[in-house]
Amino acid sequence: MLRFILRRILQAIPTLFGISFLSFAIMTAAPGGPTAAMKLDPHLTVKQREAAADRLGVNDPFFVQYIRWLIGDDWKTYETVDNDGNVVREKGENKGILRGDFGRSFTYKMPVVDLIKEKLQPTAELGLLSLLVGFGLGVPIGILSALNQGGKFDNLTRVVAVVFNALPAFYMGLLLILVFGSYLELLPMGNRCPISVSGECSLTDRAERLILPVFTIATGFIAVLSRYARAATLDVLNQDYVRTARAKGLHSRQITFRHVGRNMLIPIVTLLGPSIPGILGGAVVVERIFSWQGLGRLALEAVTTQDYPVVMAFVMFGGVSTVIGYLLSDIMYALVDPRISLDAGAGRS
Amino acid sequence: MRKILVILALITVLPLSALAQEPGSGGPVIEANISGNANIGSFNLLRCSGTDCARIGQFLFPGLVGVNPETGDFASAEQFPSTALALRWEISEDGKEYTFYMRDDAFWSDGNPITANDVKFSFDAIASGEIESDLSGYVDAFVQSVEVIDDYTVKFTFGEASCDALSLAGAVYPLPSQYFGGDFTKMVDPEFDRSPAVTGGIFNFGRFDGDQIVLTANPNAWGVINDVVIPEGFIYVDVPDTTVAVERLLSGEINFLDGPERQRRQELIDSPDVQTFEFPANGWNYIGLNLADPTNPQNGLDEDGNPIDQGHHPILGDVQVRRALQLAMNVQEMIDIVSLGQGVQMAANEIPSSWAISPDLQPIPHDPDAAAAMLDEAGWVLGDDGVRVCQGCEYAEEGTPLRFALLVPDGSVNAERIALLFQDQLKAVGVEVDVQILDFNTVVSQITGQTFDAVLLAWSNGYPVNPDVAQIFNASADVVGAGFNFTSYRNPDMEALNEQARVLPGCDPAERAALYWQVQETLQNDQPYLWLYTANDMYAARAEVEGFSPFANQPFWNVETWQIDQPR
Repeated sequence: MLRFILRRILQAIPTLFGISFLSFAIMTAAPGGPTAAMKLDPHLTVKQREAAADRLGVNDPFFVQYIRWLIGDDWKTYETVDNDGNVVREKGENKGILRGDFGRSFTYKMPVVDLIKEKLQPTAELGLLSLLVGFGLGVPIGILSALNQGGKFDNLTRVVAVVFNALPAFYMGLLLILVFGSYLELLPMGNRCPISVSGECSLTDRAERLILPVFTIATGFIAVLSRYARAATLDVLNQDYVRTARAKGLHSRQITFRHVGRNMLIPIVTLLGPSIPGILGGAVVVERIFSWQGLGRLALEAVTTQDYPVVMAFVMFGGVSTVIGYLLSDIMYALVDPRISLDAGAGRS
Repeated sequence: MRKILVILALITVLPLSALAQEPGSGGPVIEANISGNANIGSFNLLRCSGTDCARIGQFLFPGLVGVNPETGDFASAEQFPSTALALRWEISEDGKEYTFYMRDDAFWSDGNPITANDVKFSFDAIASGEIESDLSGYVDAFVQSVEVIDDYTVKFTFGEASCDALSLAGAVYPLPSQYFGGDFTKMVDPEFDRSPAVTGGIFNFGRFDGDQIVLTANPNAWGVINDVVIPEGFIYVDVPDTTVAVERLLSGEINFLDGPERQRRQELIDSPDVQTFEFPANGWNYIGLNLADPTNPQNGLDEDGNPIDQGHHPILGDVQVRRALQLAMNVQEMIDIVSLGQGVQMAANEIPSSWAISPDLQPIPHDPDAAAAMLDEAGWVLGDDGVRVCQGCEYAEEGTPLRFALLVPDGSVNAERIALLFQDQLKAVGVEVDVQILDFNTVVSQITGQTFDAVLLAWSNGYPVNPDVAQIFNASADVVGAGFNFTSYRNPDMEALNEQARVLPGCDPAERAALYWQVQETLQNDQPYLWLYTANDMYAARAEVEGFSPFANQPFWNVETWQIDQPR
């Protein structure tokens, strides 16, 4: 298992390099650039705008920018001329991504790592809980639907799944806010903690503010997973070994949990991999509606302002989480299906 | 009338002093931040870039020069009671030196007095270029020096006599020099940027936890009405979705909202739980026209300041065509459809709330017949397909159809609607407009590169309004790739009038305004822009906010007197 994981990590390295190179090329080729918006700020002089572009290094050729992002420039000395005409020598400050330095945000003038750290917790809270609720509800609903194929529950869940799938997250979120926040006044309409000068925020406060956004994201998961789980369960129910188990007179609960449950999970775990990076995409809209300061909104803002270091950090974050997501899928495959071995050379039996 | 209102507002809060209110005894002001940019890099007003940090910074750091909310003009603390540091100022005969006499009852939150040294410290910090301030170019270019006369007297020397002097001096917000040990390089400090420990405003900094910026009442606030800050604090809470923001105001989760979404405004006006104030906003929409040859962009002036031949735009280079386009537009229809009737048509470049707006200049009325006649006269005759073609026109080749592209930055539904209405309205007089909705950065590249035909944009004025148009209409600002005069408009007479108003000895507002009226008239005639409208803005507060009596652009001028019931 360990060798498999190591091999996959090594395989991921060139993939991540490829992702970074292509993304950097596309990003820098996009029209405008990080200082474009400054062009319409009357407070800034032409000289200031040029100085800002020089300071950010966005006037440098693509390869220079890419290499600097990759390996930094703390080994290089820059020469500039100050207002009095003196030559000033300054060493570069970037260590580069290979040494864990994602640079400084052009917009916030602070290290990208600090920015991401600040925003990671809200998004992780929201995303992981949504995933948990999505799998926790979607899979059992799918199994129950399959066990009651053609029944009222099956028909009801089919309709609900279609509705959940069809409603965009922003609409679902607004609907929930209007019903549960505005009309029924049962739940708060947003933010992670109560609005107060004192800043008190109990676990209950946090929990009740999670309900609506988590449910908004989870509806998509529930809709998809319930249909997948239903199809997978029906497939397993028609297998010979289930018929044999029934013929042997095993109790239906035993059949469901021991034989059907475990085997229907095999196709479901394949969905886990792409779901992890997908959390970030889903969070963009939901974080906005529910006033959460998370990674999704930061990513969107970075793209619109062309904040290169932040955009690239998200690209790499997306790349790494995709690799980890698929790796987890493979590991879970082996856990739920004893026929699959991850040891080198063993392959599938 | 407004003056009476201010006095009445002040009188109405007087009884509160009789009750000897405790500082912070009222509920907090909770404003929804609907900008969507709650990631503030710095609350330090010298390092802040953007409107959100300025919104908060105004409560934390006192300005040297105040504003009279009634007139929207600069005012000393003697002219209008406020937390402005300057009690009064004197101007030298040559108009280059401004001596500010500061109050001696102003203190930082650490107990140190706010002095002239703090003003100089901030100026030195900006001028040094060490602190990456948006103000550096702005101040560098105009302020020659700042000199401490004594602890409470500071003299600004400007490179030239300019009526912008107060605006420039006002931009230099004093900072607590003692906190940085007198070393402004220490101002590049993430700790102070995000959590300023020493402030001097009506509120102290509380905390910033991502979605809430919390300020607390300054118990030792000075210069405030009745000598006490009643609200417990000011909370700027992130609510980027405008629909949700209105719902949260109606439910009482927040108690103040600046700019509720237009479709819900009538509902707020009708609601017994909400009080509203509507006014013409500071921003204005326009369609900028490229007057020069877009195939060969040139600067307006050469290095010696001599005009460069920029050629003519084949269609929009002719002023008669530009005037016809304005006549063909139905701006009121745009206001009615796009802004639900909440807006004011512009006569030229000055917004309705500006002190310099011409009282006589009327907006150009919608008159499609006159537009058609004018186009005929300009040599653009109606073709068989309903599109006019050049037959004896001024700059285009014979047979050229009267067709041009209108660039519209994406992301604004309202801008797209205005563009489509414009397209329809011009089609009625035989003009074909190709609406191109593009990424904002692409639009910026094309207009500053001066390769465009027309662009739909908006300018947002500063506050107090500065009517100077040099940055957008002077030939010196017509620089390919950088200047704001991307229309390549050039009129030396207009520039002379504008400059005369800027440097008028004594800076008498009435005399200056009269000059700016002529500028507006010239611009309306020359039509480098098609003048659209300014949409109305609105402040909305919960009914339980006592003391809410805003002026345009000044919702918080008396915030220290606001008495608010605790939110649910």
